[in-house]
Amino acid sequence: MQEKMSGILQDIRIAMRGLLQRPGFALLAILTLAVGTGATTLIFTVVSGVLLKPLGYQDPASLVALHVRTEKTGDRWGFSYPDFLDCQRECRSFDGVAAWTYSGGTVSAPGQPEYVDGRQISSDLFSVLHVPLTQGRSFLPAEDQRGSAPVAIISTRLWQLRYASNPQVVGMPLTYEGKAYTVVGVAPPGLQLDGDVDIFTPLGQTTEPRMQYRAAHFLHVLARLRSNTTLAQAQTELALFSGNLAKQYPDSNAGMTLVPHTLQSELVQDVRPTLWLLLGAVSLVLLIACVNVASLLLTRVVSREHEFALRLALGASRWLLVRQCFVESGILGICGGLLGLLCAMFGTRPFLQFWPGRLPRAEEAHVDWRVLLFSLSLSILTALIFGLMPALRANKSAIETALRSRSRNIAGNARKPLSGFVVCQIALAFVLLTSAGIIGRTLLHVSSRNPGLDVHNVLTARVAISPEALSSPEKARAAWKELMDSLRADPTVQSVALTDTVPMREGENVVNYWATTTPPPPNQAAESLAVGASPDYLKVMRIPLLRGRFVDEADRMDSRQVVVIDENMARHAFPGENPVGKLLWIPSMGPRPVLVVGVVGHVRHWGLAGDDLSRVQDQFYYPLGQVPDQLMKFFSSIISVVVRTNIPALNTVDTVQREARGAMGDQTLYELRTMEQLVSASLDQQRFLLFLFAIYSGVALLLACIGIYGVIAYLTSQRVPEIGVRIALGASRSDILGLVLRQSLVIVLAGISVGILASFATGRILKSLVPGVQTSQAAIFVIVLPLLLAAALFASYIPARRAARVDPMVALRYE
Amino acid sequence: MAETRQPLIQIEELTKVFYTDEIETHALSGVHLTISKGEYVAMSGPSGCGKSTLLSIIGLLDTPTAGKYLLNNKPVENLDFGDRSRLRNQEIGFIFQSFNLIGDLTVYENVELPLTYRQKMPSADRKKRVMESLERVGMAHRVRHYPSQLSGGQQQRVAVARALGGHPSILLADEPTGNLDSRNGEAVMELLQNLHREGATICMVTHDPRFAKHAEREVHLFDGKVVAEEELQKLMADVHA
Repeated sequence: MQEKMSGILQDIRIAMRGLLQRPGFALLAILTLAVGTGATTLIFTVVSGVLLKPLGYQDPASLVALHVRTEKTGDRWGFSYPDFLDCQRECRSFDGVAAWTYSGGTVSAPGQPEYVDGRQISSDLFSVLHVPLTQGRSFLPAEDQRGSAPVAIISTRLWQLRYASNPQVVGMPLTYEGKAYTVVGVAPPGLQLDGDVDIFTPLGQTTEPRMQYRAAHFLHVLARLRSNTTLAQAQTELALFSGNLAKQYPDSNAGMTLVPHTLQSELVQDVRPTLWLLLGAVSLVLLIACVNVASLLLTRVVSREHEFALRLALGASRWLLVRQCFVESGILGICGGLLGLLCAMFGTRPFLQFWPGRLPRAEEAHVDWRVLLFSLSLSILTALIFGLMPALRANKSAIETALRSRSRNIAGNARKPLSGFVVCQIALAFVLLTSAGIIGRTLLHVSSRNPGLDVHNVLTARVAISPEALSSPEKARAAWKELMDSLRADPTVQSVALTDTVPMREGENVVNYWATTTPPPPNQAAESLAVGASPDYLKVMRIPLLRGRFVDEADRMDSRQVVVIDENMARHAFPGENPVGKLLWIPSMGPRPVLVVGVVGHVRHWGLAGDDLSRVQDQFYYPLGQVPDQLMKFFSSIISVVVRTNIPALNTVDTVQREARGAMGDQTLYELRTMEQLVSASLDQQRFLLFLFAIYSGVALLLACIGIYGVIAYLTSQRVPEIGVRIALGASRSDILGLVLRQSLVIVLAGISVGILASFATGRILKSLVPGVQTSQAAIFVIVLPLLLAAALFASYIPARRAARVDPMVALRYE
Repeated sequence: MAETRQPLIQIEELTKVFYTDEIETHALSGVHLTISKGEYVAMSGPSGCGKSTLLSIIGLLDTPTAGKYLLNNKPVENLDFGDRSRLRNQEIGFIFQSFNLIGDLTVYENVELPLTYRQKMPSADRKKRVMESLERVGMAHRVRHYPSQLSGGQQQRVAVARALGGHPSILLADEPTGNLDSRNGEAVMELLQNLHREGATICMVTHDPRFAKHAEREVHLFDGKVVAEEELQKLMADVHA
């Protein structure tokens, strides 16, 4: 054993000495590996933090998210409050069931008025999550009831900012949305519930009408599995429970099933495909790097064949030669891996800054033991991959042939494996280039799509209406009107409207509808995006009016309920007919049918790329003037303002914010975005992927070129005597140049052929993962092919030129 | 008879100096040599005497440092690389000691190789020339073979066929029997002899006095100069002494 160890140490010494004697080779190999392992480790760091690492809650595996599934719409629906209460009471698979929904509003005391994000939560949310509070307690079940005293749990940020981290904060007052609350607890720092939250209030105290409707699916429900209960058992119980609900409440619950998902998969399901796609792409870069170093090592082994043969002749076993090769590749692999790990450590945060939108669990992406283990395994694996071929080669060294020294036949016998390496590199680089091309083309294609409205000079913002205005529906209506009037008074403002839904921004209301007097079976009704709008909305957005009229000032509570539908809905609900004057049944707007008064153009609400793929294609607009009094408070909490300006919209932000403050000065605008920004953001995923794929394919191309250069240079050096003979026989410089370039071209074309086949497969994968991708690749090949050919031929040109300048005398002396 | 022949190669005061690390090596020092059309000349001399350097300059593989070199009465000592390549391809046929056949090419392709470097030579003409050459050396039945499938003697015959294919003005043979056993060596010498009888001009470098005797004329080199045989004997005796 000791002898073996000393033998390995001796191998390490020899390998280190050999690498130090060729610092250029060692540096190139290590840098190449560092690029591959660095990129892969970085993406794995993110994958590990976001997808693989258990959630930061106690016993995270038992946390599940519950959803409503219908055959027609899939399983992404939230719970209704009555269904939640029933589930909480009756389901035995869970130790606890909790619910939450979005809220938010203005905290006006203590301190200055400020809009904060909030959540309405059921009393047992913290206990289900097993999250202890920093100060105070969670809500009591008695506080989670309508009519109870208003209580709130605040974030650590709010506690520090507004109460100076006072340990006596529990019991202190807080004014939120104009209402006096008592602080009962402080949430731990970093606690997120689909984003940062500053204030939690009891869900059960909400007086909104939707709390009573079983058809209103707006709640996120979390549950903790009872110990010894599996997800499958919970699923079975939920199926039975859903069946009972369907029997009891067929109008709202028929065709619905409740389903559990692990909370972890729920949180990251939107980013999972993108992350795996990126990991796949960097793995290709890593593979290219491995192949590159393998070819470098192979050329070294081939040039050391004489040495290996001599060692064999002197009594070394073949295993010792193989071990020496692996030691050398292992040293390179570990050095490259360490450098790659450093890249990942320092590159992860900047990388996350580039991530479009919010990456769930991004704060958990950092180098930890998982990443270290991955990096170490990756280094060893890469060393095995790129060291395998040279080791096999060393193992096959024939003593007699090699010792016969310079053989008389002028043909390199390492040509096949080396050419194979280049074919692999070219194929992989082609796949990455084509993928970048597909994404780039998609981006170009979808960018040129008509969003359905005029996005120039439009500013949008959510409104945190004055808390005072929320005290009565009349005051809320007056505040809305006052807001629009004050903005209209600004000379830079052309027109102003209010809406509850801004295109291409989060927060939308999807409702069922039908156009016949007989309702469809439960949960089989068509769906439409419902947009509440004030009369000038069409004018601000410049959405084309195709028939009839848009909503106007005459559409009030005391007039007939009306809607304006988009062209898609017109086609689906009234095929071949004029929809104006027709009736629609929209349960969420009441039992009576509503009158269609106009048809407008379709707006790509779900993004330039995502809209075509959206489950919901229909849209209708209803007048905000017809929002019932009992919903005015809720609508005031979700209302947004859209402003068409005479000058670039961003230049009006300060003015618009000032004008929007209201008489009390406690009204604020937040999430200010121009429509151009929203449209652009709808393509962030594609843009981000294009950016990364462009980098990956650029690196791949560079590595492939280095690989081609190395291999062609080596093969050409092996052909020097042959080149000498050809020159002696009258070959001109251009003949030799052509000879080498042709050799390279054959290899490159073989790589491209393999790449073309592989890129058809990757095109399909991209189509399934990236919205809007088209798999037709002919146009991309037209760009990628010449690019790759030119790069490859350029890389081959240098050794070819060197070969053309070979002195025939020197070349023939090789003999 | 030699007097009536036209001169093919005329070399006057030819010198070749190699410079390495500030050291001057005079490989050739004022060589005068004329080879006439149809002549068979053997060049001999001890190792390092400049035989191969002279053969390279004659074969336009290298350029002299000074002196004149007329090939077919045209000065060629100052031609550029491209012109030398073209002239080499058309006027000179090389036969190397180690055959220098290209392992990846068949016998046919090896013989065809110099012809492929000629602009606008139709493939039918090339084929005719290749087959003629192979028939002349008795290797026409091996056109599809690769060099590794042939014996040393057969490989050298293919190399001779390759040199003949271009219908050169002169065949330059550098130790053509150096890598062959005596039987195959004799066979190759006989082949050259036959070619000479058919009118070929041959200049051969050889160590072996037995093979030098096959030539019409022997040129002796010593320390980069052409010397008479008696003088060479004396010089060699001085060296050994």
